[in-house]
Order: sequence, then structure tokens, then C-alpha cells
Amino acid sequence: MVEIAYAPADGELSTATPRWRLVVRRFLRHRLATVSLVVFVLLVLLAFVGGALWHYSYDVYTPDNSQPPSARHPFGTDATGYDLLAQVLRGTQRSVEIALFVAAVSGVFGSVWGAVAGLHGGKVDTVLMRIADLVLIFPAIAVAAVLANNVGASSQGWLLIGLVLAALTWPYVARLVRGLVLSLREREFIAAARTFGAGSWRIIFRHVLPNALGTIIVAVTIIVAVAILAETALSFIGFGVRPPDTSLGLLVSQNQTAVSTRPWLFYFPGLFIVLIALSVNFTGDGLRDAFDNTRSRSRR
Amino acid sequence: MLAYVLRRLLHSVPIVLVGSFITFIMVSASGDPLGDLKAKQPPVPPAVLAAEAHRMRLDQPVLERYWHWLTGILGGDWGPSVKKIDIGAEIWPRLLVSARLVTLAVLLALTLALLVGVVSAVKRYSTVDYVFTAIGFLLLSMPAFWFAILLKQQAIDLNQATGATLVYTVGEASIPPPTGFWPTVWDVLGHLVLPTVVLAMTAFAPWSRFVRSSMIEVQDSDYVRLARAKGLKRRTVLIRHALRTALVPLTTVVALDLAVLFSGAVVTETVFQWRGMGSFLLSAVRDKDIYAVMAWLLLVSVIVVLFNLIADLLYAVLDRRVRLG
Amino acid sequence: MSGVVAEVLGVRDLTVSFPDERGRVTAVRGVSWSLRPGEVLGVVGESGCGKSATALAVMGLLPLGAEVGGSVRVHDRELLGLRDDELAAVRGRSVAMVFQDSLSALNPVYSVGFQVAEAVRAHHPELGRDEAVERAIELLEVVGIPNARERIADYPHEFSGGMRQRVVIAIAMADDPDVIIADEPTTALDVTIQAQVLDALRTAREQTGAATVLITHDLGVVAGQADRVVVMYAGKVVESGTVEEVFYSPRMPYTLGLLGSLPRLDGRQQARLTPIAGTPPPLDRPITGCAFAPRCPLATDLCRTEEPPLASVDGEHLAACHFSADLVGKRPQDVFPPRPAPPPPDAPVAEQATPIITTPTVAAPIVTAASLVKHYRVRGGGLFRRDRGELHAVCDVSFELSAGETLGLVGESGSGKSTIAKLLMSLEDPTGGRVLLDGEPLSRRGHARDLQIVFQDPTNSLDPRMTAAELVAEPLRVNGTGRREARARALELLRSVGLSGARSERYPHEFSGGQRQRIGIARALALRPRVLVLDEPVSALDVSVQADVINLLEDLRDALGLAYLFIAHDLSVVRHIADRVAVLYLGRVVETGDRDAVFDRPRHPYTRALVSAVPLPDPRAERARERIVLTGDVPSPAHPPSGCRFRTRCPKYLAELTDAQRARCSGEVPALLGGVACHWAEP
Repeated sequence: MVEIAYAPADGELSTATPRWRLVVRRFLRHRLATVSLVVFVLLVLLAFVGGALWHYSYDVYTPDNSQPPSARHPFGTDATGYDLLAQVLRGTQRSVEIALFVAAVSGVFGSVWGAVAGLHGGKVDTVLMRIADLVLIFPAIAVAAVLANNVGASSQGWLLIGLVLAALTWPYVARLVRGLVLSLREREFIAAARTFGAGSWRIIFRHVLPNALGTIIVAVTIIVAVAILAETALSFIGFGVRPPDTSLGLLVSQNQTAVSTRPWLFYFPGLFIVLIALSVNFTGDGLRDAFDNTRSRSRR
Repeated sequence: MLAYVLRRLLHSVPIVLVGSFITFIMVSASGDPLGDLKAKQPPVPPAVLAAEAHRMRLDQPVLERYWHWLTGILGGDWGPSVKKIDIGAEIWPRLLVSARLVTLAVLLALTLALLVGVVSAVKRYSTVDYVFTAIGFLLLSMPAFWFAILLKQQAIDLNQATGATLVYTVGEASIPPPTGFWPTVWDVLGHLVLPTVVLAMTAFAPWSRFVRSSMIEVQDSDYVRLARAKGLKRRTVLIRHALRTALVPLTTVVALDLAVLFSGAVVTETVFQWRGMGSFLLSAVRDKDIYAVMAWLLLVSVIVVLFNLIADLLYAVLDRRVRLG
Repeated sequence: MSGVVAEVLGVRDLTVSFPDERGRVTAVRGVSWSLRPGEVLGVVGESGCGKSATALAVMGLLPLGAEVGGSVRVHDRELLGLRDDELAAVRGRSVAMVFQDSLSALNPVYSVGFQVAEAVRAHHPELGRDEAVERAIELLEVVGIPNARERIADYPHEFSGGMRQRVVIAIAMADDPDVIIADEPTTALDVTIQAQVLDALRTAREQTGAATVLITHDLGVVAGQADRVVVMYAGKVVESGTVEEVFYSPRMPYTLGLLGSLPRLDGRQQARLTPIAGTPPPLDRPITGCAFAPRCPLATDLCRTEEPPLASVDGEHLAACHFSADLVGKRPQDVFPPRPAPPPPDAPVAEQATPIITTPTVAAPIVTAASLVKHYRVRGGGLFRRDRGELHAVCDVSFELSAGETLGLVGESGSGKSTIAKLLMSLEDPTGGRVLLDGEPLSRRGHARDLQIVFQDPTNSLDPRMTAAELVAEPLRVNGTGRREARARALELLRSVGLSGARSERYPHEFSGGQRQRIGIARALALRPRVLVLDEPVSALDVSVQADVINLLEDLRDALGLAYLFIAHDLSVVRHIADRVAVLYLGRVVETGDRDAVFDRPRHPYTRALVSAVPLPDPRAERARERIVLTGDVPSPAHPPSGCRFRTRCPKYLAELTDAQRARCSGEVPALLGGVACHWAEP
């Protein structure tokens, strides 16, 4: 190690800063990440609020067929007269709903799984992680297609699709959290807590989880992006969200033949996917830097 | 070393077995293979349904069916098909088609990831690094199918503009195939270009980020500093000490991403209308052709396990510390 | 600093700065020194003083983003500003370097032989592979690697720490350099191994004739090895001169304070250490005046406004202090007044006038360790990973501890001392034997209050997400104290370790190392224990801070009548604080007794070697000492030698005993009789 002269943060000189404020400050310094977070929030608002306010609905025909973008139809219309803006907003809403659901479920489930494995160690750890690894040897899209084949068409289909995708993504979170917990477990402050009689639950909730939270948040953020791409791909190959409901992947699929004749039908839904995934990925990158003080050293 | 190889091999067997069981249960529970037949109008006579159920082994208890299926595969019988196709005869050629796509994509992605990752790490926080980072994030956020359609359209436009077929945009080979060895190779390669690029790009993004960060970590390490302190040339240190060491964990990452690549191949093949593993899977799922789906999942998962095993062994060869653990 | 004296390496007005989250940190703020042919220049200072950054700047090996100014000349050739390929021609050939951490300094994926041969060929590409390997074997033999020819194909992880450091030294020697820069070459090593590595370094020096820059925080090592010394503080040289000048008549208060804060193994010092208050200044903002002024008892307004130049006080003895003339003949305690002890917890200020003093001799033992045994299972690497046997970490260890008494547990790595701490704290279950508290077997609930532990590394043992007050209140909260009451008591405890109210809401990373360890001590005291297990409590701290913590521990012990089990590898610290000492080797107690008896008249051959290997911060005494250098490494606890576990390294066994006597050593485990476990103990 280079002994770089970081003067020890001197208690007398530095001011007290709660950790979360430090994290927020570091995140805000990452300008791209800050912009990305704003973009993502705006997109979500647009989809949920804007979709409700927009004077066309995604499932109602308009008298205009195959119109290029205009003031009336900013994103144009398709051959059957659907307003594409309404459809894209609806699709965004669905895709974001599914992605957030996936991230929440696989984040919670994966964290608990990984934490239990890491804390227990030994045989429990081996068995739990073997199971997690087992999920990873199957191509996710194939399993998702098999499982979602029968559910996509039902009214609560999007929830079930979300469950299927969560079932395929939780091992990533579990592996990460386990690794983290294994290293936290070796930290002496855990041993210290045991010496003054703290029980397992107190150790988990008071010492392990708060320290693992940053990593979990970052992982869950990345899962949002992964889930958006997985859901759209699944809908694209025809096993995800089905008509009359719609999602961004389904829109691309339905309009792929129009790419040369009415390109707006193809580009707008695709660009929305890219925009959402990109903003989430950049946000995740910013969060990673914000939580990990060793990484942000020479970045300015 | 031999003990290590055998131990890893022994570890893989239960994984494949449990994986096959999960595959079997999951696919069996996913739908009724006779659903379409039962829904037919006018209704199919019960005797025909019963005979079909018997042919599909649906009259056997689940465990027996599983045993029957597993032992059948060892003897080369992949089970009955709803569509009455020979699953084994159908899947192998398609696997070859997909395998050449995946293999080529892995090679392309690895080459690019190494180049870009090393350059980014060496020139970190420079303009080049930022540009590569931006491209990486863009690719990481781009749905493969959308990118594929985009590329396909560009290629069609190009072909039209030049009036010649420079790259093929449909299928994995021309029908009928050209005669002669070299024309065939040329034809196959022409069809491979676009799908390979699409698939490689999806893997390239995370791998180049991985190479970059592990190169940065290694470059700041004490042993790279010592290597420089010996008076070795910059390039020697970079390749022999930094890259060589940073490569070791990449083997695991690549092997683990193989399943992800097969997912990507399914989507890519769909866009380019290949008759590979992708369309096999999708039509099998649509037809609820359970044994065909099982065959697909089993085959791909065994390949993934196999390559993870190889990666583990490679790791142990590249880094001797592993074998002790 | 004139050009009259020949120099091989000259550093002039060197500045180094690094980018940091808050801006730039100037780690080196204008350093000048010169290295003369054949000499050893010691560079000492505490962590963060810029000594390593100076070394890396000389080698051109600073990390990306670092900015360097000034001048570095080797044989009158300027190195700063050279291109990397031009520097590559200098590195290894003119200036070679030995790094601190030999595990991370050797590439894990190449064999040791390859890495040495690579250094040989770096400047001699004309040498064939075989010739280079032959030369590598030669070099490894020179630095004392046994069976070098067989071992060149081994990988770094198959070598012990001491052996690896010799490999790094062999690499530095490979091209016959003019200068060897050794950056903390022995810091992570045990004392007996340190002695071996220092010998190897000396051999390297003699073989190559290289002048050496020895960078270390250990004043004892410098006293024994260096000809001249440079003392650094906050990125500057504050004093330089011959070792005798600097050690016997320091003319800069910092140097004086450093010497006063150091406990000595030969016991020739005052009862109380003289710590330097405060911490080094942060280097991310400009410093006006003398950087040491905030911590200096002599500082005046002049010191705070005007920076003293590094000027001659006596020939080539230089010091940077406005008042260096006043320091002639001063002892540390004359300049650094002992800090008043903070009020102990529990004791109201009024009652504090009469501290409770307990007499250890009459008290019944609080803690008794009875024949403690701890084995760990080791798994093999074969096909079925059978149990490869057991790691014998602790083997039949017994001791008693009474109120007000400090028992020092010393030993090198693998001696089992930390395992004993874990057994006492019930963090591990013993394989055999037991721990008694007031004569009763230990139970979880009971021990939580009476036995508490302070860990080695306060950075690691404090939860980074909790404030100081929360950390100290945590044991109370766990044991059912109400939030408000626990907080009030936590604040009181923090005050008693010298951390005042305003700082209690800060997080561990906002404290310096010494302050963090104070929080750890306050937390250990929260449940009003009677016994503290101190597991290397000061070894992660710089000397000046270490003294402060030692003093605090002594005050608390005396005020509260605590019993300490003080575990350390640093014999000097143990000698200072302990009443009785037990010396461990490979899980067994080899010698125990009153500390003066053990350190002044060691009877076990291991204790004798251990004591002789500890360097003294006293150049003349250090050079006059007879040193027993042990050969070889500590055997693995998984395969301890039969009979006496020390016999494989025992100078007596290897050189003095007859075959018949040896048979007894290998056949019979020596019992701990009269405080020593050796069949042939010194009388």
C-alpha cells in the first residue's frame, strides 16, 4: 500500500456529518448521475400522470391512421389508428411497474437469502448458494418464456411476469449480499457486539444490514435496468405482456416491420427503453460511487 | 491437479442432476401438452386423447416419467414430441447453428473488451476513457432486439444502395446452400456478421467494464509497482503483470455469462429469422411441446455447467493459489 | 547540505501532492536530504508524514494524478521529468526498492524463481533464461533461502512472510544497484523474523555496496541499522543528523517527544510515558508556521506564524525549530508535561482525590484459565477433502488474573495469543479446559458484564454507521438499559477517556486512530467490567498516540481496580504496562513470571532470543548488544514438532546439546516448572 498522507480526519477540525448526508453530497457531485435520476423521475411521472391526462387512451382507436408525428399526435399513430404517445406512455408505465416490482422482490428475497447464507456459513451456506447458482445456469429468457407462457394474457399478468423475472434475478443479489456479509462477519465490530451479549437478530438489524444497505441499494438499482431489458425482450418474443395491454417491448415487436416505412413507430418505444435503462444505470453508478468512499478518490 | 479436476467434476454431476430435475418439474407443470388437442372443435374422441396421453407418458407418475426421460436421453431418446418430430434429430443441427453464433460473439466481445478495457484503464479519466465509458453504458442500456432491428434496417438500406448483398439479413445460411467448401463458408460468414455483432455488443459492455476495473485495481497493486521498480519496460509490466493477473477472474465472468449469451442468442436469432436454438425453443414453448423444451433447457444448462467447469480449471491453472482452497 | 560531500542520491525541495476528495493533499512539502556512498540513512516518522511518498517519488512510481516538484538526482543525473522508459533504465539498476508488504509485492500468479530471474534480465536481456535462473538461485541463497534450487518453482503463497521479504530483497539486489530504498521492510514481521530480514538486508548491502535508505516508523530499527537519521513530520524534514546526535541530543521537540513516548524493553525509563498531545495536521490545506506548533508545549506566537527553517544546530546536525537551542540537555518529561488523568467513570469528581489502589498479591483471582486447549479442523485439498488433521492453536494454557493486576501475554504470530482472547470472551468454545470467573465456570450472561475486550484495530471494531455515543451506549442498550440513561452514561464514559461532549455525535471515520481506540475502551468499560482483555490494543497506533492510550489504560486500571489481560507482540509495551508476563510459543506457555525477571533474566531459550531480537531506541546500547538470531520459521501449528515445540529453532538444541539430551527434547513435552518449560533451562 502506498502510504498516502491523508491526514487522519481530525476530530477537532472536521464537522460532524451524518453518513447519509455525505452519501447525498457525493451523489450530487456525480453530475451525470444526478441528471439521470431527475430524468428517470420525470419519465416515471410522465408515464403515470401524463398518461392519465393525455387526451387519447392507449386502447382507443383514433380516426387517424398511420400519421407521422404532429401536434395532434406527437409520436404519430399506427396503422390501426392508435395514438403512439398514449401507447408509449402506457407501455412505459407497465415496464416501469414490472421493473420496480422485480427489483423490490428480488432485492428483498435475494438479500435475505444471501444474508442467511453468509451469516450461517458452513453447510447452510453451501446448500443455499448451490441453489442460487443453479438458477444461473439456465438462460433466463428461456425459463421466463416457459413460465410466463400461460400467465401473460391474464389481467394480473404483469405481476406474474414480474414474479418470474424476480425468480430469475434474485441470485445476483443473493451472491452479492452473501459476499458482503461474509466479509462483514469477519469484522471485529460484529465480534464486539457478541462480547457484550447482542443476539443474532440485533446483530443482523443493527450492525449487518445498515452496513450492507449501500451495496444492496446499488444492486437493486441495477436490477431495475436489467428487469426493464428482460421484460421488454420477453414481450418482444411474445411471452411477456400481451395485447390488449401493452409494454415497450411489445410495441417494438408490433412495429418492427414499420421501421423503414413509418420509422416513428419503431424508434419512439425503443428510445424510451434506452432512456429508462440508461438513466437507471447512470443513477446506479452514481450511487455506487456515493456509497463507496474508496472509489471516488480521483474522480472529479 | 488431478485431484482438483476430479473434485470439480464430481461437483458438477449433482448440479446437472438437480438441474435436470428442476427442468423436468418446471416444464411439466408449465402447461398441458394436450391443451391444444383438447380445445379442438369438434372435440377429439377420448380414445385418441388417451392414446396421445399415453404416447406423451402422461399416464405415468411424475417420478417415473422423470426417470424414464433421463435414462432415455442417455440412450439417445429425447422423448416424444407433440408435433411428432424427432427432438434429437432436430435439436443437434440447430445447436451447431447457435453455437457458431455464440462462439464467434464471445471471441469478438472478448477481444474488444480486452482492448477497450486495457486502454480505458491505462488512460483512465481521459477523453478516450470517458467515450468508451459512455459507449459501454449505452450498450448496457440498449435492448438487443431493438439494436438488432436497427442494424438489420441499416444493412438492408446498404444492400439496396449498393445493389449487392454485402451482408445477409435473414437466416443463418442461404437456401439452397451454395456448392463448394469456400462458397459455403463465405455464405455462412455473411449471414453471421450482423447477429454476431449484436450478440457481441451485449456481452462486450459488462466485460469491458470488468476488464477496466480489474486492470485499474491491479495497476495500483504492490506487485505491479515492484515489477516497475525492477526496471521492466512499461509494456512488459502492463502485459505480463497487470493484464495476465487481471485476466484470471475474467474467465469466471465469461463462463457465468454464457447462460446470458444464450438468452441473447434467442432474441437475436428471432430478429434475423434464424433456424437455430431460438426458434426451436419459441415454437416448442408455444406448442407446449414439453419434451422439446426440456431437451433445450437440459442441453444448454449442461453446456453452461461444462464451461463453468472449464473456467474453474483454467482459473486453477492461471492462479495456483486456488487449488489449496 | 553543500555539494562538497559526495552523494549517490540527492533529494532537493521535493514536493508531492495527491488528488483527494476535498482537493489536493500535499503529502511532501519540500524535503531535502542526501545519501552518501555506502551509508544507511534512516527516515523516520509517523504514518502520513510523507516518508513513503518521498520514496515513491524517487522511483517515479507515484500513483496516477500525483504531482511532483523539486529535484531528485542520482549521481548528479536529474530523475524528475524523465520519461517512463528512461526511468525504467534507472529503476533496479541505479535505485532498487524493497516494499513493506511482501505478500502483495510479489505477483501471486508467477513462481518466485521467475520473478527474481525477471529482475535479473530486466537490465541484462542478453542473459539466457537458464543463466538468469542460475543467478536467481544464487541471489536467493545469498539472502538465506534454504534449498533455493528446489524452491524457485514455488509460488509466493507457499513462502512464509519472512521468506517472501527475502525474495523481495533478492530482487532488489539483482542488478547490483547503487541505492536500495527499503520502505518499512520489517513492519509486518515478528521480531525474530525481523532480525533475520535485517540480516538479509545487511548482506544485500555488503554484497552490492549499495547505499541504503531505510524508511521506518520503528526508532529501534533505525538506532541499530542507520548511520544518519532524517526525522519527518507533516511532509517536512524536521531534524537530521547522525543517529547519536538525533537520539542523544534531539533539538526538535517532536523528536524528543517521539523518544519519550516510546516504551523501552531495557526498562531504563521513567514510570510514565510522555505522549505528544493531538494529531498531525491535515495536509489538504496550507499550513502557516511550524506544523508541529499545535502539539508543541514550547510553541509561541512566533511558531504559529513563521515556519522555522531546517538549520544547522551543530555542524551537520540540522533541526527545524525556533527554539532548538533551548532543548540542549532536556529530557522528554521536561518538555512534555504529563497530561492529567481524566476523571474516571463512576467516581464522582469529589471522591477522586483518593484513587482506589488494590494490592494484587492478596486478591483472589477473578479469572482463571485452566488447561485451555483449542484445536481447529483443517480440511485437506485432496479428492474428498478429508480432514487433514487439526491445527493446535492453544495447548494446555493456564493462568490466573487478580484485580488490579496486568498479565502480559506475549508471542509471535501463530502463538495462539488471540485465540486465548477469543476463548476468554466465549467467541470460541475451548476444545479442552475451561475458563473460571470467581471460581465458577463461565456463562454467557455472567461474563458479559465482568469480562470485556478491546480489539486491536479500532477502525475494524467500531461499527462505521454508529456515532461515538451510540457505540458506547450499545452494550448498555443490549443489556436492557433505557435509551436516555444509556446515552447519559455513554457521554460520561466518553468524557472519562478524554473525548468531550461535542464529539460524541461523530462517526468513527471522523476520529483519529488514537481517538477511535479511546471509543473502543469507553465501550468496553460501559458494563462496568472487572476484567479487560486487551488484544493488541495499541499496535495499530503511531508511537506518540500509543503512549497516550497506554497512559489512559494505566490510569483507568489504577482508578477502577481493573484486571488486564494485555496481549501484544511488542515486548517493550508489555514490559511497560504488565506486572506479570507469560511467553507463548506455538500455543504453549514457555515461560512465565514477574516481568522484570522474565525480561532481565530470561531462562527459556526462546524468551532469550525474543528479548535479544527487540531493537532498542538507543544506538550505542543497540550496537553493543549480543543478538541471538533464530534460524528458520515458526512451524505450522497444524504440524507442531513433537516434544518441545521450540526445538526446531532452538539454538541450544541445535548447537549445544548432546544427542542424548536432544532425545529428551523431541520425546518429552517439557512441563512448566518454576515458570519455565524447558528441559535445559538457564538457571
